[in-house]
Amino acid sequence: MGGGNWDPGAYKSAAATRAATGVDDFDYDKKVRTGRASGIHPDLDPKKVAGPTSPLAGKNVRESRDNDEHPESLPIAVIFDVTGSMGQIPQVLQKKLTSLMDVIIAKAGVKHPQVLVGAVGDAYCDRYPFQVGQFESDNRFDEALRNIILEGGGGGQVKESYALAYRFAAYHTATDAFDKRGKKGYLFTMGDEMPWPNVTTKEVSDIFGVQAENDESVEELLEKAGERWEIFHLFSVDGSYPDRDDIHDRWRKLLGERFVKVEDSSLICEVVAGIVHMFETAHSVDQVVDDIGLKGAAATAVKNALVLVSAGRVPAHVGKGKAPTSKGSGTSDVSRV
Amino acid sequence: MPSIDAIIVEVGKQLRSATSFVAIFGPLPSGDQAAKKSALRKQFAYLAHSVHPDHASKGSEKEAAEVFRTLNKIRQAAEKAIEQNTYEQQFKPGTGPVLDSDESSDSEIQSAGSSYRLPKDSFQHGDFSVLYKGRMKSGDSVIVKISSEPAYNSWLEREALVLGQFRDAKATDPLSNIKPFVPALLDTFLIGGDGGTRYRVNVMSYVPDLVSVAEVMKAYPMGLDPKDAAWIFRRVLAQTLAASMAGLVHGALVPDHVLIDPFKHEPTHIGWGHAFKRDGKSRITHVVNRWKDYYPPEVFEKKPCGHGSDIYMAGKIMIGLLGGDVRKNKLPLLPKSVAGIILSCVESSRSRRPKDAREVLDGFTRAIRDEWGRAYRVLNMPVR
Repeated sequence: MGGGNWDPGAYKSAAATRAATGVDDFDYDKKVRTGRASGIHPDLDPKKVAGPTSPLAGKNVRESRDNDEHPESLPIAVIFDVTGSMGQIPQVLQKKLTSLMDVIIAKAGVKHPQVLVGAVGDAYCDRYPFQVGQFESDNRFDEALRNIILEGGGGGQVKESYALAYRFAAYHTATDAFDKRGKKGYLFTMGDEMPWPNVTTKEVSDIFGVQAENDESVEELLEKAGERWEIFHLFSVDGSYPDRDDIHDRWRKLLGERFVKVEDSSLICEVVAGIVHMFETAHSVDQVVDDIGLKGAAATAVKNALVLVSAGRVPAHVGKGKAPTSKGSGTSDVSRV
Repeated sequence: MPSIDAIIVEVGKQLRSATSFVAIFGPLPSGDQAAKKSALRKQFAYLAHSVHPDHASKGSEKEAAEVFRTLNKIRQAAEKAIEQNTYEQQFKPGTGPVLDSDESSDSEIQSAGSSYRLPKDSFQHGDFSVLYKGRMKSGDSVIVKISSEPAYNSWLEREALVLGQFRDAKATDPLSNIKPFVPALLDTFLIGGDGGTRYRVNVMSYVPDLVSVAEVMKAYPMGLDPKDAAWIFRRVLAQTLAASMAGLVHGALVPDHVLIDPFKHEPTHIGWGHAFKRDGKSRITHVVNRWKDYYPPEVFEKKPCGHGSDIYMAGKIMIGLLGGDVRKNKLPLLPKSVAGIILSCVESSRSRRPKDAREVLDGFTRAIRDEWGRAYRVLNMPVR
């Protein structure tokens, strides 16, 4: 995965064709709702395994790989809450995120982003609690967006299954960025509630089709996913619970300053691009917002979102020359507990 | 007549900045190799006599020993150059005198602002890295630490962040007092490898004569004399304090990560790639297998780790250093006050351990002064 080039023109013309032929932008969701299709779209099924050409063929992983066109892929995953409390936000995100690639390439100066989109619901009561696409460098991620079912479910407990996204990142992704360059990808979850404390073994087998040894706590999953991903939670202030301290506190405990309040969810692309840009360059918040070309209220909103995210980063300058001898075998006398 | 110490310093400088063997040993007679080598030996003997550590005054012995070693290496390289008929040639620009036996296998890596020459062979392995003793253009020695796998880059990045935190501490910040006792980070960057791979490189200034507590343990398998171990324990406790002052848990306070200077009795604290924010929720997720017995129970129970976890590991180091049974917390015969302090550190329940290493350090310092006085003996390490 990860071939092709994103072409903003192609998106616009495809959208125009759909409009002209009377096809809804979010056709699959509509088909499911009207009973003309059922079940998760096969491309978005977390059980889907890597194809025969992959070195991980048959394994339940989404891959972000380098290729000739994109020699230095940078994986960026955005997984948003599609439960009822989010109101119309998922539809807004579904539309807005189509320009994520544009904004990242043009404004954040990242040459080879590979974007993956996905949706979380509530594993307790939703039929499709986790839907996830592939890492794409081109317009195909727009298809994934259109195929997401906006179930609008969720229970009344102010908790959703965000931890499925962390389970996914921890165990079901493989990226050249990390394997070849030790570089972490970016994972953003977005929603307005707090995470269920655990992912159960049953959920893992139902949703991912694999066996987990034990129930997994959200803390554990974040820790494991954090070894290969820079993780942020974008909190939709315009969702149902803008002022619930228990929700904010729960996330702060989990993610610290990487719990980011987003006042206007329609600015998701700018916030994501801003955070990536800030991390890639170690620029100041002001500079980042300036680089992204925002003005007025939007600039303020993004600035407010980014200001707490500390840019504690080391320079990513690539020097010249090679290490003197071939590198070690990778066997280290250090093990994970 | 300049003092012997001044001569040593001057010779050291000239050795480092020389551009040819001729500039060091003078021209050699024309003729066969044997005659040339004989002349070289005479010149060497003259120089060696003037910088020999035996003649240096107290305090300059180390500088003299370093200069003497360097001179010896250059002599060996010059002999080789005679055999290869390259004695008269200038050194390659920017390389300084040839200190390594096979210069052609040296390589160079460059960051945005500096370049570093690396010998073919590494001199150490870290938990996630290979270490080279490299040289800057100025000729100064540096430690060049390169991750051994791209997947380990993030460990070296964490180390760079922590060392940067110490390095950048303002003079008014108490953290600045720790600067002399942690490696000075000079540079951090990435280099490419085969197939589009990237490796993190951290460059630190080289400090000679350091030995790790692990090496001390190896040199004294029956246990170190408590009077000698005492000052080392104070340095280990200081390392937990350094972490705490930086708002961190060190997370891997094992004998390999405490370096000491046996003469000056000063420590250098390393192993910062394992450190994490002291936030009450983070835990030690990775252990160095060979030191598994040194980690506190909360690690294996996957519970949050804190300052108390570092204190526990410090206590274990002391038990190991004294030749005790690390697993069973058995100490050799010690004054009661001293033993009590060590054993309090290794309580399995975090709540029963001391809360602050400073209190442990103060209590321990009082106890050892009462028992053994203030002076530290030079720690003899076998010649390596």
